[in-house]
Amino acid sequence: MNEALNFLITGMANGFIYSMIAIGFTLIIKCSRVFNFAQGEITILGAYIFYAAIVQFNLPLPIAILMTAVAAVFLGIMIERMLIRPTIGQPILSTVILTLALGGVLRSLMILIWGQDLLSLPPFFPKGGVHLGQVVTLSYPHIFFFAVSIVLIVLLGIYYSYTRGGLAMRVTADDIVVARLLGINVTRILAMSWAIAALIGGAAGVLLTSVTGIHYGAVEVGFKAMTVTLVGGMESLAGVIIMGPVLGIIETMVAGYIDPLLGGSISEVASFIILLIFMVFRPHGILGWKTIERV
Amino acid sequence: MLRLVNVEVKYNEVVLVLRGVSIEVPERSIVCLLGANGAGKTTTLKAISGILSAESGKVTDGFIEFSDQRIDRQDAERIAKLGIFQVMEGRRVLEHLTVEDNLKAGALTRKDGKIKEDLQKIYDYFPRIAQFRKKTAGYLSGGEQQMLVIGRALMGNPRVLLLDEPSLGLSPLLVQEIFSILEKIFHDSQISMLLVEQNAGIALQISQHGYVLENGRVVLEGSAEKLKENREIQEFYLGLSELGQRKSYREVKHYKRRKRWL
Amino acid sequence: MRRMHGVFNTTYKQEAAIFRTRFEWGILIVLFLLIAILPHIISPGWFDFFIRIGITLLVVLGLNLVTGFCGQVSLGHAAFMGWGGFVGAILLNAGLPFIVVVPLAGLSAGIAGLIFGLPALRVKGIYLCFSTLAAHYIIIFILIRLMGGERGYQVNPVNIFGLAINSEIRLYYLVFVMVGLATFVAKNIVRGKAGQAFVAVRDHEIAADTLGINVYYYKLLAFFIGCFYAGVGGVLMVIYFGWASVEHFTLWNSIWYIGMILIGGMGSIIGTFFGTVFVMGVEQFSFLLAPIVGRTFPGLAETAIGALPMLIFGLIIMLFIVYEPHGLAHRWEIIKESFRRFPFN
Repeated sequence: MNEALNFLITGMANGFIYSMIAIGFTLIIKCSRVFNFAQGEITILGAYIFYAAIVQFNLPLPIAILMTAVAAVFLGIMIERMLIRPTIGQPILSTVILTLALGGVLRSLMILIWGQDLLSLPPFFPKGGVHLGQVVTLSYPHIFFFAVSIVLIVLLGIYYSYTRGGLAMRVTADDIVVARLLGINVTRILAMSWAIAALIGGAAGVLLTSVTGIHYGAVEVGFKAMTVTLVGGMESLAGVIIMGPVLGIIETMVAGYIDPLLGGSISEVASFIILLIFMVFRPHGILGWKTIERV
Repeated sequence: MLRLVNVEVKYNEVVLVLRGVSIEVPERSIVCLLGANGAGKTTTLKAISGILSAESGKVTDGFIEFSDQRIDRQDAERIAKLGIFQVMEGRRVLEHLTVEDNLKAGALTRKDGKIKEDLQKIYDYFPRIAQFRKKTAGYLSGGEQQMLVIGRALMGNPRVLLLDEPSLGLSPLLVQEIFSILEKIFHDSQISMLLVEQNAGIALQISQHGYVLENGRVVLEGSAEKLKENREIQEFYLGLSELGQRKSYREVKHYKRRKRWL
Repeated sequence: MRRMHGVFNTTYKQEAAIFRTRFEWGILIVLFLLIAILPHIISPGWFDFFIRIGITLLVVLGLNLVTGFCGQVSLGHAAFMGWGGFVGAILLNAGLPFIVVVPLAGLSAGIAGLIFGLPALRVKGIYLCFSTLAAHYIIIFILIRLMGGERGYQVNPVNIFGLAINSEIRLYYLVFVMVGLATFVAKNIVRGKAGQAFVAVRDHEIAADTLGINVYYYKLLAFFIGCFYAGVGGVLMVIYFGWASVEHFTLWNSIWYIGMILIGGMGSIIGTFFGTVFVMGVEQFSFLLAPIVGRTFPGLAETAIGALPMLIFGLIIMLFIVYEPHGLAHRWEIIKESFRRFPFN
């Protein structure tokens, strides 16, 4: 019983990390209708840049944060302008490979610049955590991810659904030509969305790696976040916040209970099996938009 | 107030679609642009609203003026802010948004606070869609979608409304309904409309003035009455042969009968 | 089929011909001769490159059939290659002859393709991308856990009717004979009923359905054939390396293969060739470049050889998608056309 509770809480906490990264995917889908496979790499790149600022250039913390933020925003805007805008009408496969290739390029750049060793950031979070009873300890990073994810999602959700700016974004995502004809400054909206997505991604990366250390292999977490986005529903922020912890719990449970039985780590593929099942039986996820096809 | 002067439009720098088109849409009037498929009507509207560049099109000669301001080189967003709103061919509702969100989207350029009132006004004009306020727009029928996009364009308080084939794909009864609503709107607000239509009959019914486009050139223009009485129009666009009689296909020797305006 | 100016088909035989004009036959013969004498004019160090090109051609032909002609995105193609490779390795080690092993391995990969291609019956577009992506991971997982993929298998040199394939040059010829066969079969599929159905499904599924084309059947057929090819390629791969291990069949391989059909031109057999040769050339180029990079930036020496190909490949793919989305085959058609029109081009 205690063990189960432990798995539950840990899994949930892990899940919120996925949620925060998944927000980046969702934002970009909400504005450009493109799945940004490179989001995982952007996340970790943010971490590397922060590392460069703090450790390699020895800048004070606020400046380092600023530099990372500026770099992330710049990256987001550049990607949108140079890669996404010119390829707007193209078939799905092109944009998929485009962002996959971008991810590869970023990944190889990271390897070339910072090498393959594990780097560590100075820790932000105090050690230890909050004890719940005698069984479970929620470490501070976990709590932080939980809090930040929830706050971000609530804010973004309100923005999208209830403000004019959010409406403009939804219009742009639905039909970019109509958006322009209605006077919406599409350039600005797209740039903003990508900039924010890159910013959130970078922030998530910095926080994550402050605990785990920076290594290019960490981009795998991007794939887990992908599953969260897809199963929750690509366009749905609510889906992200629900699926994150759910996936985390499932993974931890599978690792805890099923792995020892099979003598192997099926938990690695657990998220992919779930993804496959959902893609086949309910592709738009739990809360996503259904494709409307009128013949 | 809206003037096209000798406008020439090319796609991909090679395909010449408009060859010196001159059109004028005065204040408070409905002007129709008639013509067969491929005549260049939609291109004319796109040249005005500024979205040619999205399809590699460009105005290569002549100019377009709106209230004495050149607009042929401007971005679509700015042209919309000037008060020119286009209702595109094939409706183009925002499929995943609700009807009400669609209408609110039309008002995104407005900074005043009267949006709620105007929303109600649109529902009054188009009672059919009032019942679908919260429904996803993609599931509406063709006619309802057409009403929705016209309403959406009106929400922007336009000075000129560009309508691209609003009757496309609609039943005759619905076409009548929509066009009578358009007439009502015109009488109430006196905005100008540039109406591109293949259905010449209904277009001439509500317009004051009309142009006929063929192969990228204006071949005829005049008041709606004069156009309705014009022999060529009657034969080739209204389906009537000489003196308003029905066409007998036994006597069709249209290769002998050439249009007399070229 | 696109014919040159002045070439008209007046008989059914002409209509259906793969090589219609003397020009096309000419090019074909030149190509054959080139491939045949190549091993004798290049230094042995290059054999590896060409053998790998040949194997990759097989795999990518299959991928183009599924994704290029039939429009079903398959991001997991390398996994099917691995499947065929492992099954082939197991069968070869069990003593079965090459001639039998190849079709069997291909068949097993094809069946795997049928199973993991089932999602294509339900979803399209990006959702299919994710399904095949997930399929890739799951298949690799199966290979690792159930077939000992982490360690790998040793594979001994094969024997075809007594002729031992124990030198690179023999393997080269074997590979290219199979490529020739595979291309011939692919061309026939493409111009036949199946190929036309594939294209119909790709272009407008619903319209194809209303025309009586059994969309489900043809989608699955496309997966079957495509993965069959991949499986055969996989067998050749494990024979060449003498070792079956999952490191040859990663997700990045899948992406490279898709890149090849994108760059070469989807839905075009000749595009497959353009794309494969081009991309593998780029890869080889970056291998050659890596030591130079390592020398100029001493810190990068070890990592350069791993990261550089991906960097260059990624950049090139992005450039192609932005500036030449229809691939080299399209550019080739434009070049041919402008020659035909000379001096009016």
